[in-house]
Amino acid sequence: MIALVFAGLVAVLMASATYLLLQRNPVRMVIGLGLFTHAVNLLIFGTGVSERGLPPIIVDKAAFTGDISQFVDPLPQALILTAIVISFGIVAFMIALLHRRNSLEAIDESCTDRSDDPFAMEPAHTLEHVDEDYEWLEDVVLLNELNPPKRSRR
Amino acid sequence: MNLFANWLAAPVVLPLLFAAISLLAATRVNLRQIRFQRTMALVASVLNFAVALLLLRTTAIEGQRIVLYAGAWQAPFGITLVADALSAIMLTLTGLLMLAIVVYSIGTLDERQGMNFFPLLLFLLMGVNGAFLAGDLFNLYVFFEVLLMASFVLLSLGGRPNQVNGGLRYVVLNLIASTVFLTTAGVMYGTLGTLNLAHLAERMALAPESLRIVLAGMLLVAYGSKAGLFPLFFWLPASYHTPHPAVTAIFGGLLTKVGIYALFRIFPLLFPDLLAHWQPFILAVAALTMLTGVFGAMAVKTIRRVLSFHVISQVGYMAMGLGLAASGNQLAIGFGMAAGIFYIVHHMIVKTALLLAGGAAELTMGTGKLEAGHLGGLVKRWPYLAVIFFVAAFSLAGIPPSSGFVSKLGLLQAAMDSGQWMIAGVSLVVSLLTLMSMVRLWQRGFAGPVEATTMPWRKPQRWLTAAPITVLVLVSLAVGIFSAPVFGWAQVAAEQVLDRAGYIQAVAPTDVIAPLGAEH
Repeated sequence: MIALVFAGLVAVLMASATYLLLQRNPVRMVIGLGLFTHAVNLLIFGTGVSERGLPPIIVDKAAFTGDISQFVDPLPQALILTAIVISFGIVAFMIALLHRRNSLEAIDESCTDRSDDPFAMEPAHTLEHVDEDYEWLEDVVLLNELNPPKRSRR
Repeated sequence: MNLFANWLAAPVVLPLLFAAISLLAATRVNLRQIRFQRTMALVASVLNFAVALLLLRTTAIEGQRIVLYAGAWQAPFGITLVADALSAIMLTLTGLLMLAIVVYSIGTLDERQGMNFFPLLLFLLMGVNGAFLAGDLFNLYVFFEVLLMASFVLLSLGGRPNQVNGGLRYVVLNLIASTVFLTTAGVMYGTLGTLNLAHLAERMALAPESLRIVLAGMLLVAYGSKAGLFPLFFWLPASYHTPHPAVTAIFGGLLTKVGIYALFRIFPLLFPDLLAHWQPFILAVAALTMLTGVFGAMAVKTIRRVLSFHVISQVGYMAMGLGLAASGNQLAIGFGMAAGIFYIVHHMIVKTALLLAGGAAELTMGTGKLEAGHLGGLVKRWPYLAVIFFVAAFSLAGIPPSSGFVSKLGLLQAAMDSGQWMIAGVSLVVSLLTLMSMVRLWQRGFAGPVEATTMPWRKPQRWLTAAPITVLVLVSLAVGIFSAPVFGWAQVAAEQVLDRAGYIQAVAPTDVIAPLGAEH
């Protein structure tokens, strides 16, 4: 019974995540990714749960006979803990990137058309426009300070 | 207990330790702090390379497997690190590339040196090394995430608009792939009750075939999208040209190869029967990857975009090695795999050298556009760089006596031996197209008169930039000329990868849980 509940929940979360991931709005995409990772965490959690309310420890060690239905497997819970931290970090990083993108967009007035591509600023078809590949070559601040040419040192 | 096995922890612990120490200096951005971080990165990568060579000697030459049980926990219960010849070869290449990249970025990197670039590089190194050593599926996932996390930040370091755009695509697609991977790990644990690779290999026969197909398919999607296989590679050309050339070079040399390594490790070990059943499918994917990669490279217009597309096309050759590993011809089995591993060796070195040289060309000329009036005439402006780029480019295209020739010959022979004429033909055609693409790069970028009128970048410290490229090109030539011993190592690696019983025996997972307090 409990497995059925878990399966249903995972299915609902996965479906919503897929729907959101297919949206054009990047914020929805981030939410979709969050739901996606949650669905997977729940799936892993479900593998260790056989009955409601059981603890993942052996309560009475002396009376323990080796019957594993008396407790819940703690390993999936440990796995989820790791997975939650990782997905949290990545989603946080994505939000930071989106914020950066929005602030850049606010500076750059020329961004208008991004109908085709949720992440495109300007230009939308990045394969065609190669100018912005080399913007970084235009402002070099630290390198010459870090690696002074030998002649100027003398 | 064998104390030598403790060396296995070093490739993971060393970069972590040095990265943590150099982060201590990150409170202020000034020259002293940057110099400290540089020194730390240099020391760490030298030590890492030394340890990798030590492991290479033990595994590839003496033919052993090294197993480290972390905390002396028995195999399926604790974290297990396993090194065989394939892991050691990958570790050694990683060490070499990392050393080259550190030197190159000291020479060329701009203000991004002050943004904790070098600690991030060390975290990347830790993740890659860990992925090559992981002995269970979940730690493989964790180390994948460590390296992805570091690569996310490295990719978008500096926060320029195109970096942010490329970075978002990269993050989304890689997160989805990782989540698919995690799902597979969860389902495997739920059905087979273990995550240790050796233990899984033992128990996989118990699983029904439908489940095995689902698991193998999901892993193929997850690793395939990390490796950049045919329908799943779109994140790569969208992002690889955006960061600093040093970052592009290390990504192009290392990251997709971690996905390929995982395919080489997991499929022969866990799904040997499916590897044989799916051979036509894997070979078809490999052929399509090669073709799309090389056609993409012909369509794009800057030097680093061209080289990024070549990463994809070359990944196809490695997948071809995997497909040939499941040949019906008994003789060709080990040979196809060995040719694939040899191709990885060749590709990692040459691709990094090419991307570094292309980046140096961009830095020198102030642009990387392959159009009239932009890049061009580098033969006159920096003849030495042009020469080493030439050698590396022709090695990539497979002109003898380079390593590219030997590795392509090996794959071709393996394909012929097992009667796969289609894939042999495709690989030859792609090889020819690669040569054409390289000639185009040479003509547009290096030959001809100096066309660019402006040079906004002051010339980078030339020897710091050229030395790592030279070393990589020389290593590549040495691999080509003295290919017999290297191919011998690849054969040892292939035999070890295909020898499931040996792997299980080396790790020796137990099903018996020692009762609590039994040792007293």
